[in-house]
Amino acid sequence: MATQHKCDEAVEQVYFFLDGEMTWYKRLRIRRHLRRCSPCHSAFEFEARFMDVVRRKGAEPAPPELIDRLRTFLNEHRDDAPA
Amino acid sequence: MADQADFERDALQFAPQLYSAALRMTRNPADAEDVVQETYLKAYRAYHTFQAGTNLKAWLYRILTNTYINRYRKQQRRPSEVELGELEDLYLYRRLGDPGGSGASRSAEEEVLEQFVDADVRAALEALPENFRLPVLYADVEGFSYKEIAEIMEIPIGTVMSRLHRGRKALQKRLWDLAEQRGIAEPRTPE
Repeated sequence: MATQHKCDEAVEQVYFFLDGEMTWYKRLRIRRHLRRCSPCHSAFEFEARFMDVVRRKGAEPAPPELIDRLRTFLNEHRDDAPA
Repeated sequence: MADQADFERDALQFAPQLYSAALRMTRNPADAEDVVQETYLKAYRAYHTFQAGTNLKAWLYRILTNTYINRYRKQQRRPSEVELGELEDLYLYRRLGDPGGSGASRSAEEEVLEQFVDADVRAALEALPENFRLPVLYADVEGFSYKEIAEIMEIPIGTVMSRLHRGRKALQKRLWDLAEQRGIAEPRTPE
């Protein structure tokens, strides 16, 4: 199959593409492939959604008093001899 | 050179993010806050060496990473450099998706993704071996570039890439295993 090679090449690069860690020329090549290949296009969209889920659900709010507690801690310890 | 008097104003704003990362590292709130405190004290003392105008957030994460690693390596006496087996590309997608990409299956995939609650994603992240967990956290949760992660972790950029990419696949595998256990996803027979 003529396009299988291109699909493999695109899939290997999926994270470089989504992370924006790719030269403009390679990016252009992959964009062109994605416009023509709907399976790769959906796979890339899925990976992007997955990364978005990790970003949204992987973080956790800090206690609201954290910054105040750090300020107090620094005030109390800034003059200690370094450990 | 940065002025120590400006430290609180400039650096404390990043504390909630550092805490969130520390929590994924230490897996418990009290230890996370300890690590963040120690990080800020070290950063305060070293602030005169920070080059004003460079990336303060990344600088703080570098101190956080060192603090965490020193603390926990001492306890474990064993660097947790674990290898992950090779995992295929598009691990989760290939198991959920219809390679034809019809509209119906696409919304089904999305539904499965959204069924993972915050606690699932956090537990899956925390289950990753440390050397893979940190790059995934730093890239996907904190939004750092490969180059920034390389500087924060003091490892070559090629190592960042391979650990990040493999770490993501391992994360997908863990979430897939969870989905299967819960019967959210029907196992598909590989073609």
